Amino acid sequence: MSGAVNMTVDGRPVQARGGQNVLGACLEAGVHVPHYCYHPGLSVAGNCRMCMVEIEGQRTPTVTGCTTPVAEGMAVRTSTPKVRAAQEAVLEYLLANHPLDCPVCDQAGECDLQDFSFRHGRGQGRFHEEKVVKHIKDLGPRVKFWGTRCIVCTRCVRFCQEVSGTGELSVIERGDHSVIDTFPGIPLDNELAGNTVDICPVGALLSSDFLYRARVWFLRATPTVCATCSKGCDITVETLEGEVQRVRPRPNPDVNEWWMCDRGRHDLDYVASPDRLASALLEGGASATSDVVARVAESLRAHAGRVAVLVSAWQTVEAAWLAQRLAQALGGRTALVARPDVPGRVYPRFRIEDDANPNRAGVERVLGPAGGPGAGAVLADLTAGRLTAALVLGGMPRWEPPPALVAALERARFVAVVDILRGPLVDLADAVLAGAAFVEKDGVYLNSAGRAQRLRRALDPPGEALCEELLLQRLLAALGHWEAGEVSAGAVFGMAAAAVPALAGLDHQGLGELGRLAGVAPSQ
Amino acid sequence: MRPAWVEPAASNQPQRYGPRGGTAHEDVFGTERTRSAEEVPRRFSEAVRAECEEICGRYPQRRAALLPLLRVAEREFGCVDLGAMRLVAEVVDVSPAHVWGVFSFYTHYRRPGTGRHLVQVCRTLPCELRGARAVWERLRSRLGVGDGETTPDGRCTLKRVECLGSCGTAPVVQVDDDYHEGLTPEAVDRLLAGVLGA
Ligand code: SF4
Ligand code: SF4
Ligand code: FES
Repeated sequence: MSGAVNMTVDGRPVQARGGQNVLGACLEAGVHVPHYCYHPGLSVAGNCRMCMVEIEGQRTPTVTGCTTPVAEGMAVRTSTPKVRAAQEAVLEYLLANHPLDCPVCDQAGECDLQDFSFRHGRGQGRFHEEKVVKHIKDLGPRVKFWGTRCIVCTRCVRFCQEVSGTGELSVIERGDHSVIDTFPGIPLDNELAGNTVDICPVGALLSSDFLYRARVWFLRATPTVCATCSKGCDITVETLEGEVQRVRPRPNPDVNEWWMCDRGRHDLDYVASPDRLASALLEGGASATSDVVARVAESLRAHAGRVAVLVSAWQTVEAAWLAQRLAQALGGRTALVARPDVPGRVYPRFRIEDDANPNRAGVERVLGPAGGPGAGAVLADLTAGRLTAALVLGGMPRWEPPPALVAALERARFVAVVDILRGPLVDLADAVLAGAAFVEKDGVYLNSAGRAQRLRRALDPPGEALCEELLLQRLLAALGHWEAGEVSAGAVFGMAAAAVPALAGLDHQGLGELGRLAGVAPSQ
Repeated sequence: MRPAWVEPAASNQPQRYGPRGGTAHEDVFGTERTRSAEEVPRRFSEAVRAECEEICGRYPQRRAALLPLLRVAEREFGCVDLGAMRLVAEVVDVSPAHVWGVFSFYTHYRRPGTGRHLVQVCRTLPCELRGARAVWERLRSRLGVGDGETTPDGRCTLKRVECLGSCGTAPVVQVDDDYHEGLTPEAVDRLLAGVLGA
């Protein structure tokens, strides 16, 4: 069933899609209707009774919007006295056994139970009987459960049945004793488990990692993209006091729907690691960035015509394009380096990619077929002494450089490395520049489907570390090949898009929140 | 920077909440008993497997055979325990947690640790109106156990359940597979002396 259905919501004409439910149509039309069990990414359960609306001419006083299909000419009312009475009654029931422990609950501030009670509740409960107290326990290594706060909406249960397909959760017992639980011995430990915390409308499911870390209203949210695999899930990075506190998915129907995986969610420890490079290094000792830039430019110039520029698949499109310019200026050759695949995983409605690099597609497009895939030929030339100097743009966490790469670089007479963490490459380099982790910079990544999406800076790089596109502009300027002055990542992207056919027509602004497929003309 | 993790009160400790307090509920569903019994691996014989297939064949979906297969497991193993639920989950191709949810919804399957006789007392409205409370009180005092409990000699497990579907002959008590209808406290004494040999 499809096609447009004309109806009214509170007297306002609304066009819904055939087969849609009334609640979905109201929400899409921007009309607030409180609801708990309905989630656009899950099947409809119709169990919370919160989404009551009145439909003119129907015998039933109010109906649940999520279970009522839209119909031509339907007139929906979302705030009549009958609706408000139903909402009050439902909330009073939902709160009957609730401990009202908001002051110690992580959900406070982003809790639908709080918000709807405030907007639609009666303000005072009349329940004077003994409360039924349910279990509080770990459901798995990353998810904690407060049965006392659970409203048994079954979003989490349906998620595990429908999206992860792992079925660890179930409602056990019945009536006011109903409680979420796992089968003894089979914990909630799939790689999508963290999503249950996000979709729980109350403080019943909480993240063990984030637990009691911060009050959510103090967090600063930055929309960006996950870097842990090439899927490129849209995420929100939430920071406080210069640290990443929490990572959550941002809905994007074309990439990750409403979800993300726990690999990406818990992959940011390295950002605050003591191994982070916070200043430039010359022969192993800390030096001023400007001195090191000058020294690197000078040394690379001395090896002009014999320079290898290695660009990692974690670098942004902007940095890769500047690296390409640098290689051209020096008569050098470029190559892509990347982390080896980590086996991904296919769930019924979510796929984690094997490629453990966020921007292989972007770097490959910028470097072109000759300079892109496979560093083999470049490494062979370094090993054979045909190339004598190397600039490595690394920035890949949890990466062991392959022995062939290390051996080839050891043969080079001059090695400069731009990186974020100490490691074998930094140890062997003559000069090191401190770069930025992906949450510390603006730029564009292309995911495995070729979708260009924006990274946004959520934190400042540590100490004197700088974003790679700035370091590269300074290097180019020191070589006399950059007249633009120091410009933003957005401006660099504009130049890259003008030069690289595969990026034609794209710009930061136009990518918006959800990105766009590269190589597809923007629709007018 | 990061506050130490504060352990929430363990689930099995009584907690008090609300204007008149509230306590962790007693194990009337036998859930704790089922959960804490050690999981014994269960298997069906070839013949029972064939019976399961026959039952599954009666329904459009295998999962629809869940309730009758739990009955089969109960018959085979004397009760439905964790191992039995895992086995049934495998047979009807759902997750063990799903079976755990369905099983624990119903009061009428035998839990691990259930006595030789299971005495279920209806507590729904029609029975209540016809004197179920007195029947219940008599059973409780004579057997010396409460809701969901088993006599120390393992002879009887007593529990209150929702509607047994025999409102016309209320109040009703089900002992194992038989209904005892229109009961009075005196009839309970006879029942105890007879069937239950108490
Ligand atoms: S834990 Fe949360 S998502 Fe799951 S049923 Fe309870 S309230 Fe709903
Ligand atoms: S699937 Fe890949 S991109 Fe998405 S959250 Fe997981 S690691 Fe990150
Ligand atoms: S949202 Fe409609 S009943 Fe829960």
